[in-house]
Amino acid sequence: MAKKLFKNVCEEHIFSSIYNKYAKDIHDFLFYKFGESLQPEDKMQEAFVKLWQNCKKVTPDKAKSFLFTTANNLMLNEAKHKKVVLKHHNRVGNQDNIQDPQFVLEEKEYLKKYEKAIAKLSEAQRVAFLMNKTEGKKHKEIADLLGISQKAVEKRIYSALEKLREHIKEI
Amino acid sequence: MKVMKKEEIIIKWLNHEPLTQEETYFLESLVEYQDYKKIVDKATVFKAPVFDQVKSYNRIKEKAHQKSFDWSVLYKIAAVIVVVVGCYFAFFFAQPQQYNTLAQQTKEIRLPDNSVVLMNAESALSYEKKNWDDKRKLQLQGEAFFDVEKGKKFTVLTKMGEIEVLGTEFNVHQRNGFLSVECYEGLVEVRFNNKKIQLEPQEGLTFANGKLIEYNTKEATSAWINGYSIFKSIPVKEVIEELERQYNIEITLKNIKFDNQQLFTGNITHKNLETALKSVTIPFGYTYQVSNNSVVISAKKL
Repeated sequence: MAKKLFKNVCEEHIFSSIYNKYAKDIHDFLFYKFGESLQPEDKMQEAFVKLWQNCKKVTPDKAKSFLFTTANNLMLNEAKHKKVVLKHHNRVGNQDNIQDPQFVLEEKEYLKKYEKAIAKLSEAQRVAFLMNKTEGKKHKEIADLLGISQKAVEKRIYSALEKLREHIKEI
Repeated sequence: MKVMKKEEIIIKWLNHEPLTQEETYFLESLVEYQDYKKIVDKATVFKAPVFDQVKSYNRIKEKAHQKSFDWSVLYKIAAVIVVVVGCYFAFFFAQPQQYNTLAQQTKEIRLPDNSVVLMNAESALSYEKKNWDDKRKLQLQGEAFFDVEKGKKFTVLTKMGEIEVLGTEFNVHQRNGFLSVECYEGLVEVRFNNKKIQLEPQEGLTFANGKLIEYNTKEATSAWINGYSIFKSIPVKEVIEELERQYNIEITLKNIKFDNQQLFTGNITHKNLETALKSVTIPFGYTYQVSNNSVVISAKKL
C-alpha cells in the first residue's frame, strides 16, 4: 500500500492548523519589524496564499520558516527601508479618571520619546524586544519563531533595552 | 558583582524568570532600574492591532483560489492574444487592400509610395501593402486615373491586359469587353493579347471587340476628373452604362437594340443629365424620358 512520506500542507486541516498557530505571530512580527503603514495583515495573508500555492513543495515542519521568510520578503519588496513608525496606542491612563494635568503632559512627552526611540532600534532588536515585552513571549518562543538561538534573542532584547533607555534619556 | 552578572539578571527579569532575593535586591538597586521598569511597563502601548483571524483566513482562501486560477488562465489568455494579434497582422499585411466606389462616387487613394489613384464611379481597386515599394502592382476593375511617383515598375492589372509604367500620369478604363488607356505624362506600356503597345503623352488606345483603335488626345489629364467623359469609338452600350454610373440612374431601352458595332465618339458631361442624354440620343435620332431615377430611351424619331 502506498504510504505518504509526509503530511501535505495541501490538506486543508493541516493548512488551517498552521494558520492558527502562526498567523498572529507573523502578523505581529511584520508589525513590529516594519510598522503598520505597510499593511502587515495583507502581507501575512499573502504569505499564506504563497504557502497554499506551494503546498506540495513545503512540508509542515518547513512551513513556519517558509511563512516568515516569504512575509519578510514581501515586506522588503515594498519597504526598502522606509522609516518605521510605531504609533503608541494610549491604553494607559483610562483607568484613572482623575489625573494631574502635569502628569498627563509628562506621560505624553514620554511616549513621544519612546516612539522615536523605538524607531531608532534595529529591526532585529525591535522585533525581539516587542515580542517579549509587548506580546509577552518567552525568549525561547521568540527564538523558535525567528529560527535563531535563545542567546541571540536575549542579546537583542538586552541591547534594545539599553538603547531605548539611552535614547529616551537623551532626547 | 561582575558586569556579566548584571546582564544575566536583567535578562532573567525580562524573561519573567524567578529571581533570588539577592538578585532582586541587586536589580532594584541599579541606577537604570527605574528607567528599565518604565520602558518595560510602557512597552504594551505599542501592541500590534488585533485582527479578525477567521475573516483573514477566509480572505486567504479567496485569494488562493483567485491567484492559482488567475495565473494559469492569464498565461493562456496572453498566449491566445499573442496568437490572435500575430495572425491579425500577418493576415492584415497579406490581405490585399480593397477599395470600391459606388455609382456617382469617386475616391482618391494614396498608395504607400505616395502615388495617387483617382477612382471613377463603380470601380474596384486592390493591392497588397506588403513589399509595395518592390512590387507596385494593383488590380483594377472599372476606371481610374493614376499619378505614379517615380520608382520601380508600376503595373495595373485588368482582366484584359496589363499597363506598365515607370512614373507617369495615365488613365485606365476597362469594363465589359473593352479596355481604354490614355497617357498624359511619361511612358506607358499596355500589354494585352500578346501585344505590347507603348503610349506617349497625349496618346490613347481603345481595345474593344477585338479591334484596336489608337488615337491622340489633347487632354492634359483624364476627362472624368474634370467632370466629363470622352469616348473615342466606344460601343454605345458602354456609353449608356457610363451614364448610369455617373448619374446613378437606370436606363432602359425601348425598341432599340444596340449591337457592339455601334460606336460612339464624343464628350458627355457628368454634371447635367439632360445635356448628357442629349449628347447620346441626338446623334442616333432617339428620344428620352426622365422620371425619378430612371430614364427610358426610345427609338421614336423626332
